[in-house]
Amino acid sequence: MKVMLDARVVTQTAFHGIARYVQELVCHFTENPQDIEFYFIIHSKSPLIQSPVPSHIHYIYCDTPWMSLWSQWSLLKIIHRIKPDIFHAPSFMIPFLCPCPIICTLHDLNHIVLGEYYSLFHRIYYSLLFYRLRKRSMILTVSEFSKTQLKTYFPKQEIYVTPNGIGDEFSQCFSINEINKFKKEYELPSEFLLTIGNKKPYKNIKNLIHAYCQGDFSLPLVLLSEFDEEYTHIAKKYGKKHKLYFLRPIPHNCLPLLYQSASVFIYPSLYEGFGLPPLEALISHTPVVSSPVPSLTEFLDPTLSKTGLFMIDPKDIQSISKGMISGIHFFKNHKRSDSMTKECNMDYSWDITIKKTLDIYEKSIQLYSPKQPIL
Amino acid sequence: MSEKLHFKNPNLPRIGLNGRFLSANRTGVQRASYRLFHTIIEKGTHFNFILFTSEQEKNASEWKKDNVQVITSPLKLQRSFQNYFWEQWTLPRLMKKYNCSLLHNPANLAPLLCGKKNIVHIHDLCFLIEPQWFSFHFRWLYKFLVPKISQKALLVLTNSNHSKNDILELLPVNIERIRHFYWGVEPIFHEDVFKRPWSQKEDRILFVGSLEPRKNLPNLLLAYNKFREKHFAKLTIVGCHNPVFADHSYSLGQYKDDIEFLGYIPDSTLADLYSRSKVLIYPSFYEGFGLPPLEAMAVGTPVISSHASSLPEILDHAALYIDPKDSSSILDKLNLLWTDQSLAKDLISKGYLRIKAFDWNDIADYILSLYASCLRTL
Repeated sequence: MKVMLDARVVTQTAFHGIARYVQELVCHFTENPQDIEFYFIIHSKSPLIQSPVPSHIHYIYCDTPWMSLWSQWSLLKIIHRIKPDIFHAPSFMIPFLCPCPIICTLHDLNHIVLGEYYSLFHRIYYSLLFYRLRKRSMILTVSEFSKTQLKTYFPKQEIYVTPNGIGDEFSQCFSINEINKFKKEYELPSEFLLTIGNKKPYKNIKNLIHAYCQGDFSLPLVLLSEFDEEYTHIAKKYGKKHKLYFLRPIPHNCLPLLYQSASVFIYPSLYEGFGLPPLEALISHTPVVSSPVPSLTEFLDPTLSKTGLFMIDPKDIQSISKGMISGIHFFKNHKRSDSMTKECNMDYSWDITIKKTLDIYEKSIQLYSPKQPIL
Repeated sequence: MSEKLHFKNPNLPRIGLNGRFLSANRTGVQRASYRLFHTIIEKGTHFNFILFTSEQEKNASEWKKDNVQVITSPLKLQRSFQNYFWEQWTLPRLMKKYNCSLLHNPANLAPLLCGKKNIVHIHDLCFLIEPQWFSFHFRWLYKFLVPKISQKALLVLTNSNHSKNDILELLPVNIERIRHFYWGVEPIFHEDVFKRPWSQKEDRILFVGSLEPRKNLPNLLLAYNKFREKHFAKLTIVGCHNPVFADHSYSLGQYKDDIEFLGYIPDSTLADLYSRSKVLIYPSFYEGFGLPPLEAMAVGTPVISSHASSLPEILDHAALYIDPKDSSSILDKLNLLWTDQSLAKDLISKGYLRIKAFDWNDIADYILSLYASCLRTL
């Protein structure tokens, strides 16, 4: 079986959830040979490139711009050359005229639910995407929440949930030396509040900055996010511009260190299909102040005590502020190991994701046998 | 072909040091840059350094080390245009001639022709934020050069998180190419000779800084005149006029006999002056770092600083803060400090603690590690 996976979303600087998901898929497929041949479409400078290349893995280099017409053409050329049995599109980007069955992972519906933040081009693209996905395709998603939302758009199709996982590296404890070295390298303050996001409005960083500036927090706020002038302008109004630290992109393997360096992790997102960061932070024994994202509402065992986790209403600045105060209070009065993750042995391994994904590859082969006429 | 140089170990990577600043007056930036070069040369035995500078440095004993060569040029103090020309035109040619891999520029400007070899310090962006504080030719030169230099430079260094945010806002620099680190103070300020108990201090208010608009002298003088009505204290002002800054006027008020202007003084005199003063007042509207308050803390003098730009970041809880726009807040804090001895002593001990975060050895290690990582990516 030949599976083609579009992994171009993984770049040196991408640290969003989709890139992480794709990276995990690619790494697992590379390290654990199956009787499947994988064709990964990547950029020529992709960090995924390994040498030597295992025999069941093939890299196909494609540097055309993301989401362009040109990219449609070059993907199509690649597909015609390789003739894969399945095309797995993990990041919303599909070749519309692809003759083979498509497996598409739809991580969330924010392009539709929060349509007002997106351009006309995006909206047209997504209606075309949904049109194509109703035929000869299988849809994967990452949470029950997204599944119910997707069901209204794809009533006749089965939608499979392959939740994101958390790597083992997050639960390991780092020594103070390692943490200090990391802080020094990235010019981080000795104690700080951490948030992760990007410029997109639904990440709600602006409300967080308002809440942070209105409260009298002595700890600085570190943002692993694109720089946005608006953020510093808000802080400047309150005279706290010097307290916002923008972190330059860090390699993926430093993420556990970052969580453990932070005193409190804050995640005020308005909408997430899954929401990896707060779960990762919890597993890293860092107190979390978060909006109720699916990763916390669906995947945490509800019977566990929620020590170290503070849910907030992200639309309400007061609520964010209160959450942060509780988070800092918790941090000051507890040891890291006291946080909830100690008592629950959650199984969030990526292996489950991989296993489910492989099952779906099998299913799609059965469902759309190659003998069927090509579109 | 590179000319013969007498390095002990000629195979080490060569780092060029831009010494244009050495021919200027030693104020904040120049003093810190001087100390920076001095420490990295001492600690960086795994690099060879070539210091490009004016003729007067040729025989200076401080640069005579196994890993340094001084290449001199006819740079003259007060001939600023000629110096800019040297930096933009002659320096790149020297860099090529001596085959340097990196060029470290500690004073805002760098040769455009060196492009990606530049590591450039940008101390603050005052000339973009408040251009009216500077003379016409200075601000246009900087407005033209600094964005171009920073766009191409390998690394942009700055001295506070606040300045880093300013740079991200106003210059075309990607976040991955910015680093920030704090300066330290000259070792002389740490010497015990200058540590004087509170009771032995004179009734003196000290102000240190160039006489320029951003240092906010007019509001200080207003506050001082009101303060003088109730208490006795001299006001000592250290610093000169500099032609790069715009002219501004201030009136000394009725107690002008108690105000002394000392101009530019050497570090040992300055340290002594800090130790004899009851307070250093630093009411600036904008600072990229703020060296004088730290020097005062090292000596053991309480600091009243404005709560503006990077100052609260640098001084943390070890200073009293004022609103620079409001002269009555300066007056309030002066009154408070004059009447409350325990507050003064608390500030002094907090200052000693704070100053420990600023250590030249750490800075040098950090800069050397930056060189190493830059050389890896080249």
